[in-house]
Amino acid sequence: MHPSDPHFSGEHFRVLYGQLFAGLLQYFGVIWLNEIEDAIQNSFYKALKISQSNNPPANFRNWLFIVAKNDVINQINKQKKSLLSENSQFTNEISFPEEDPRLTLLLYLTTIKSLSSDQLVLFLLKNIFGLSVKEIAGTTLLSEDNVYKNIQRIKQKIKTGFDYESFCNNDVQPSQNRIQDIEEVLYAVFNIGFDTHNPRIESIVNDDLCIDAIALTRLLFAKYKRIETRNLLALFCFHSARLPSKTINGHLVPFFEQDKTLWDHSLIQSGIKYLEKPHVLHKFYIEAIIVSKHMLTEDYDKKHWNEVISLYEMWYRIEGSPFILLNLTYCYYKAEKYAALKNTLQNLESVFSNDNFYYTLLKTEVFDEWSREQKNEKLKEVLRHAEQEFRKKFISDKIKETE
Amino acid sequence: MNKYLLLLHEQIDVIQNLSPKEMEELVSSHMAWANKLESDGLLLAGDGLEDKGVQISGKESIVKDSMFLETKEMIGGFYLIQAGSFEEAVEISKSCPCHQWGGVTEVRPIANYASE
Repeated sequence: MHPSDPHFSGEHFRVLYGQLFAGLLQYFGVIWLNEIEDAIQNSFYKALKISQSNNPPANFRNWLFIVAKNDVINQINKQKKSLLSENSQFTNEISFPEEDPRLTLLLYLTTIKSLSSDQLVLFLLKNIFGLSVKEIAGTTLLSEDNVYKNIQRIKQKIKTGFDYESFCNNDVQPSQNRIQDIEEVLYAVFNIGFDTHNPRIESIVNDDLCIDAIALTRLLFAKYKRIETRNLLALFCFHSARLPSKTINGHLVPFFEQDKTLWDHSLIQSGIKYLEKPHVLHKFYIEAIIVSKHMLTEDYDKKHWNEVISLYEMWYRIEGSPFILLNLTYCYYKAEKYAALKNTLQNLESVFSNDNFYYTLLKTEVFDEWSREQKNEKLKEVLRHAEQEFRKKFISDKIKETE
Repeated sequence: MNKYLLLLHEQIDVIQNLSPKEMEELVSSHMAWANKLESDGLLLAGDGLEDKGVQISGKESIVKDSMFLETKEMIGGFYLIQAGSFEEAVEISKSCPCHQWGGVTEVRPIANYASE
């Protein structure tokens, strides 16, 4: 039996982790959160045992769910002997929910107002996207200790702020704000996957995270049909279309140097199909338009850059993120708007440190007041902090250009 | 062809703390390895072993919990294979996926004195 066999239905353990977690949480309630996590881990361990046999279960996902469910019941029994008789519903024969329970869990987690969006993303990376503490640390640049402690604090907040009855009541119509919160979380997860710093992943992209974020966004769109979700999908399609050309033979290839023939044109077409102008301008729409412009234009002339500058400025007025300014700076450079370029760079100086990969690379390219020696020194500083081989190679090549 | 029992000694604490992705990779490796052995006509049997177990000893058959409940290592599974020689069995066993996470494969020939 192999994960691509029908027994596994091609499903990945990370996806299964999120689905099992959401399904079991719905069944047992949040007070057994730790037990549910242990039970899922144990069920995977048992899957390892059956992988060495010739008698695999016919429905692997359902088998895992039942194994994990029974494991939670056993743990509950050990802790509180009388609990099963008081909670006989736990002994019911149930199968894995037909509808993906992750979306329901996402909806209800957004109702816990004591959770910040960063905390929500951390929790989801672990419990919905099935990453270990170590993998989250690598992906987010936080230390393992920091991730672990944060997750413990978040669990506590969830236990105290979680409304089990609301969670189980699937008929509740979520507010637009809550759906918007989910869009933001999926956007954050996709971006983490799209530009991973995990030293164990020798690619700039953690494909798994991107694919999962897209899958959940599709579910969200199918259920609530928001234009914003639609544009988020468009954005994901445009970005994902470039995945085959982001690294070639272990070398990072910048956007404007990528081989366009390698781009996935069916995904670009899907992006165009999803794109729809919203009644009120929204960042997903603007970003999707910018990316599509870059991908579809024939000529990167001043007209192109000026149009993109207008879009970035619009986006900055909505969101005000320094990462938008970082991109805007490059556009000013290409459009030869040097006064605006200098001004923006000055604004960014207090935000980014000189070991930030993108900031320093940008500055060495567009800032003409740095000497070759200064550029060389700054790039070497970035190289000292780089962990992935392809990043090191990319910076080393840039250093050579300054020697 | 002679028969060989491969005992897979696993690091329990390592295996039980693998991330879902790492576990998936390990499970896939075991399946692919077993499939390859089977298609080459070398696999006779294979199974995982439960963590719980007992040891029975003495004339009075005293039953005790298995020692591995207190250790970090245990026999987590086995494969029964056939190969032309002990050296061949060892060569086959070098690619056993249990080595990926600190496990050890013990190769034990099944006693066969009839052919001697």
